[in-house]
This record gives sequence, C-alpha cells and structure tokens, in this order.
Amino acid sequence: MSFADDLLEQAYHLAKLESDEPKQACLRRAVSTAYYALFHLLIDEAVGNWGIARQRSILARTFDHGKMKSICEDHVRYFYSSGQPESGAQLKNVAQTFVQLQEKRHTADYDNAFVWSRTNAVAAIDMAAGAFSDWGSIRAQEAAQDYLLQLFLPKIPRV
Amino acid sequence: MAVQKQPQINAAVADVMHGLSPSVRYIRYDIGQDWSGQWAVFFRVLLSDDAARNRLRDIATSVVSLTSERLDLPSLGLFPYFDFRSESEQVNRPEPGWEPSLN
Repeated sequence: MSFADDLLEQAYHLAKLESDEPKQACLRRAVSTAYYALFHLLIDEAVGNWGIARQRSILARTFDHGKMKSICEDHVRYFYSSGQPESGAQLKNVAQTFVQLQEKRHTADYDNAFVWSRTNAVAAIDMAAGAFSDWGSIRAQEAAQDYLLQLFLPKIPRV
Repeated sequence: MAVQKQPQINAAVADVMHGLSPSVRYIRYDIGQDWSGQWAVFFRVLLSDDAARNRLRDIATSVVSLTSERLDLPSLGLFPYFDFRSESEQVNRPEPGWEPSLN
C-alpha cells in the first residue's frame, strides 16, 4: 500500500477506535489524517511524473496547501459554469473533496470549540475514500494529468 | 452578502431536503469565511440514525453533489462546506447550531 492508502486506513482506525464515546482527540486526528491522505495521494501522483526519482521528495515539499485549494476551487467553479459535463464529474469530485477536507483539517487542528461527532468524522473520511476511488478511475486521463500539473505549478495558465 | 444569497441557498436546501428525506432530517447553514478568508456557506446536515449508520457515504455524497448542483456555484460566489451529524448524536450531545429552529 502507498503512504496515502496507509493514511486513509489510519484515519478510519482513529475514527472507530472507541466504540461508545469517541475522544475528540481521536476524531480530530482522524479528520486531519483524511486530508493528508488525499494531499499525499495527489502530490505523489504529481511528482511521480518526474523522471528523476531522487528529486521527487524535494519536489513534493514545494506544494502549497493554499494554492492547491485555490486551483481546486477554480476547477469546481469551471465544472459548474461549463454545464457539469459528465466526463468531468469525477475530477470535480476530487477537487471539491480536497477543498472540503482542507477546511475540515483546519477546524480539526485549530478550532477547539468545534465538537466533532463520529458521523461527521467518518463522513469526512468517506469523502476522502470517494476521492481516492474517483482518482483511480481517471488518473490516466489528460484532464487529470493537467490538473496535477496545475497543482504543481499554480501560476501557469489553465491547461 | 448573507441576506442577498439567502433565497438562492434556501431554495437549494429545500430541494435537497425534499429529495433526500427521510435520510436528511434538516439542514442549517451559516455564511462566513473559511480558513483562508474566502466567503463560504457552511451547511450542517442532520441525518437520520439509519442513514448515518448504514448509508453514510452514499447519503453524504448525495447531499454534497445535489446541494452543489442546486446552488449554481459560479453565480453564488460562495464555496459550500458540509458537516454531518446523526439525530442521536444531537440528542446525546446537543449543539445549539444544530437545533432545528435557527434558520
């Protein structure tokens, strides 16, 4: 299993750790881990295209969470403004889930006033799992590869 | 901004609640800023216990997809975020923002 897959599995493990009254710490770590699972899935896919293997981990550190969010938001808006083409639905789901999970990650990590329920935490992880599944179906498509390039190089014009 | 957008959001919420009842018991929302300072709409979706326990992934996916479709995101100018909770979780640990009478 890849690191991203391991993180997704770890997220479920944390969310379901206690049977009755889940600890907020477990639910928060579960949600945060679900975001990082999707984050690492996408950056691993992006840097995997780089031909020199030893440079990939260096490139992976250049990804910027905020800029990735911005690219994903643009992608979701573009999908809806272009008439919701069926061919783009799965990539839109990946992009929308990334934005959702990033916000949840911030809430989980920094907002101690927010009370997490197990349903909410598992729903977030399920969203990540859905994005994994969608990505697996489309990862070889040109649009998906263009999306990865934009995540990697957010300043380039929309491909 | 919040007042201007409310009719569009209320219409979307009504559609989604109608389409996904009884799994979706009700939906509340607030307009605010996300972590990056962008304006957003934060939906709180209360699910039946059965839906939360047995169909969470499907129903959450449907809520996100259907609401996003109905909102007409490009014209709304707000990005939607979704939180979920089951009825029994709300009964056992009540949160004021999740009560049915706020909107």
